[in-house]
Amino acid sequence: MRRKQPHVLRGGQVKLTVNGSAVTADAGETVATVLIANGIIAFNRTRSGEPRGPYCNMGTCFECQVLVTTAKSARSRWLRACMTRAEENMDIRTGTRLPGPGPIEDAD
Amino acid sequence: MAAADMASRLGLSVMVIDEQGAPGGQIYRQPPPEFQVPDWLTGRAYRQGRDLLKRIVENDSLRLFLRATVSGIDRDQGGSSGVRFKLTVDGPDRMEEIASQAVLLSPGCFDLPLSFPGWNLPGVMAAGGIQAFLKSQQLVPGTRFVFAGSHPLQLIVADQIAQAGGVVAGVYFSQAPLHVLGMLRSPLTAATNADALLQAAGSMWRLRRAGVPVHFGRTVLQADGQEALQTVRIVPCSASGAIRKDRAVDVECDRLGVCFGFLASSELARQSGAACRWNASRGGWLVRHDEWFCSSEPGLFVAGEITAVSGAGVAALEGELAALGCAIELGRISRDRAAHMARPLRRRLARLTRFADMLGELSWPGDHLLDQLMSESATLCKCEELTVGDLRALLERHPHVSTANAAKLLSRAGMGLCQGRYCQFALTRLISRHREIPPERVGAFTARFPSKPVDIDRLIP
Amino acid sequence: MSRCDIVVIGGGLTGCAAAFYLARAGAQVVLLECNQLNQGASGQNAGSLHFQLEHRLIRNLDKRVRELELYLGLARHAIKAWRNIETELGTTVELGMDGGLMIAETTDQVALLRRKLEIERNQGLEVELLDGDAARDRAPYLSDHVRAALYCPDEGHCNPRLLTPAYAHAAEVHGATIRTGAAVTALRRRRPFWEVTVEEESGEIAQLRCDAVLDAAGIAAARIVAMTGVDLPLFAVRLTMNATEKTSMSLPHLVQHVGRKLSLKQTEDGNLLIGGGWPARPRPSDGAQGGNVAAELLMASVRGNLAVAADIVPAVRSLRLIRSWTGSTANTPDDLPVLGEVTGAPGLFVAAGGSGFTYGPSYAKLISELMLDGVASYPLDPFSPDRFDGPRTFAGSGS
Repeated sequence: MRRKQPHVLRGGQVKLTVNGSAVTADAGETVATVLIANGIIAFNRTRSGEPRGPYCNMGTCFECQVLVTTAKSARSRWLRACMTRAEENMDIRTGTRLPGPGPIEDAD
Repeated sequence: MAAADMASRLGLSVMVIDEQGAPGGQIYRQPPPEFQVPDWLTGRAYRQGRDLLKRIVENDSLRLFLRATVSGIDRDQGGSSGVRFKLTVDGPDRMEEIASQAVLLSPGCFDLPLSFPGWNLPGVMAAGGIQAFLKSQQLVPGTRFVFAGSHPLQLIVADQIAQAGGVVAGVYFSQAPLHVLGMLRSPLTAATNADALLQAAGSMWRLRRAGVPVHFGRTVLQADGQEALQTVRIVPCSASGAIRKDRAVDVECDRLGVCFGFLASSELARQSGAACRWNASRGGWLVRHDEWFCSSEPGLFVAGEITAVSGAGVAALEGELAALGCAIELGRISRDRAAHMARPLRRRLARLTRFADMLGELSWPGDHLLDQLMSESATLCKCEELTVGDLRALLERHPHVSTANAAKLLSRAGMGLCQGRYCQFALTRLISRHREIPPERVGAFTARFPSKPVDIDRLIP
Repeated sequence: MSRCDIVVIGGGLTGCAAAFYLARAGAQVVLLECNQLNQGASGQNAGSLHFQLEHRLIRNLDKRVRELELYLGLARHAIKAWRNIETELGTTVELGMDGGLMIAETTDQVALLRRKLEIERNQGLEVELLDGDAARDRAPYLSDHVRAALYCPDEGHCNPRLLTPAYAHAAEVHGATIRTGAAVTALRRRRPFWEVTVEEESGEIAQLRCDAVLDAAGIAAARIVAMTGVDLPLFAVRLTMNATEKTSMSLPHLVQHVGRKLSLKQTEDGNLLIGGGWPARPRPSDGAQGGNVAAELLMASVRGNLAVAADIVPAVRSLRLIRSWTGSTANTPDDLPVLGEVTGAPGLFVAAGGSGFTYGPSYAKLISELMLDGVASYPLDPFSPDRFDGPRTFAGSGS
């Protein structure tokens, strides 16, 4: 499966949740890396319902947005997964429909 | 980096503002500080950059403002103490205003987004994006990779993925093999650009030895899958770019690296009013400049890919020349002295530019091929979910629309979060072809503040 | 030399709409636009339909009752026009007339709303004063700061991206000819005709002969009539607009403020558009650019505008700003539009200034009536281009 390079010495670990499930990541990893390492490639849905995932991995395309809640702020924000470092106690939601008017997403 | 290094040596007070968490740009994109990567970019082609990176990090007089996006550049009226610009910067914690006497833009480029059916499916990525996962995050971001495009970078990325343990199901170049080899074999090229050529040749050799098929005269036609990428449809294409849909082959994979070249990030320069020119194969809208790399806006300098996508070597030399230009502008060095210092830089630049020109021509997929890939159902503006067919229909209904700005206003293409970066190229070409006018007349989107979306709560008290 | 009945100069809302009304009535119309259609104020404004007297008009409320009454008369005409516009055009233009709220936060502002209500009701505009809680009942997105709101059920918004192109398309269906990239370089009276000199993008020069000319060139309107030696006191007002990312919250109304510069509404795609008269800075070096006067963004305007918006609609605070832009619109010293025939130049008509988006369709309809029938269904005398002749005290401050 998706491989983290084994010969690389990594620092500490951070614990966070992805769609409610506990996940462990290496410090310094981006949210995009954490999601792909956990087998997720569809990060959000467009207003018309199409799945979308990371494209540029350098902060320009905005395709990799996910809803993130951090320990620091009460409300969740749409952040670019590729530009956001995974942090302790972060909660990441994937597959959420991007904001805008339109059909309300079914609760799941 | 090269400009900051030179400017600092010339005694200028320098701040480097960069979006990433560490200097290096995309080519020398560093792993996070928590990682220790013993073999990071050990190749010969990377040596110069690594040395430069070390100098930048160790130079205490340079201020590095990282994880910071320049949202806008404001010309300062009044001009106290020579301040000419006020930059609105979206920093890691808050918005900040930075005053400066000169600004040097070297924002680089991003992978050319090509509109073809399925290019937005999760799993389809820019080849550069795949490489960044590997280079910086030390992650092989998938299981079974296909690369398709026309730029030799895909050879290098495919090789790096294969070496790191990923399966590469195939690498597909749209050009004919003779076309590629013929140009690479030119004596001028071989003599002056040994490093770059050796790197590509080495990748090719290793991929072949590992049994990875590298095809020429083949292109991706569309990407398919339920919820995420499952297959890529590959078709033959002739030297003129004509594709043969009847001879399509579906290749299974979970990642497709798309690699048809790059677009210059000229939006900040355009926002500041700098004059541009169009060059489809070298980055789209490129910033015009004088011999000291000053744009049409006084005090606003440019270097690197936004003058024409040419790679790291050219970028570094342009950066040094632009730093000299800044020093002349600010009266820190005489024009004669600067000209003297610039002479060897200009000689090397001329050589590297010839190679870059050749590579640009070699890597360009050609209009005919692009036209065929941009079929009606292909997404044109991914943010506003507009297809190629949608825009064509609007152009039919509104016969007077022939500029990018007018088309944007009519269709919403370019009004989303990416600020038009991912549709401008396709839209410009489409209007140009549809109306049979040159891209210069189609014009660029007017670049607006902010260069990337900013949180409103950061802009207000 | 080509020949037509009427040449319309300017491919903005007023010009395209006038071309439509004139062509529909049977006139042979040629519309000339030096840039592309809809690139000036018509496409750059934020699309408010505001019929209440707005912030900039009520600064000297007591001194200007007559002018404001004239405005409100036009408002009644415009409300009828808008109600019919999608039927008339045979297409949708994202028109929403779900009501507008003029906000007050202080006691003085509430008093101003009451005074305004009196004038507006006298002129037959439907308005209702809501206290803070009643306003929040109707518009739950409003903040606790809101002390009162004057509600006008006819207000709303329309998408400026779509309206002008829809008129242009409809005009062409009725036989009008539209030429873009065609700059008017001279305008001459050759009795009984008018002769219009046009420079095409290619550099080619052409002459057009017609019976009447309509100058609907927006910010460039004064420059056009000046070709006949007539002086019109139209000046450019440079303004700032902002768009947020799309949001799932629903904000169906037009929100304005009686004492602070704010207009706020939501597009059908979900973005909030925030404006309200915040200034932009002229770019002295550039001058006029394709009918639009270039303007540089002022960060202070962006920040100021967003701060007012967030005070009134707190949810704004949690959104991202995706775009700020500037646009220039034409105004007159008395804030009223210029609509009518130029006395010194019979056959030359002007339609410019005023609140050109909200009233654009009405300006176009009325001026086309005047041009074809010699009389408009709503009296245009107070808006005559001749009213600036001679000594006059302007009530407005001018910017």
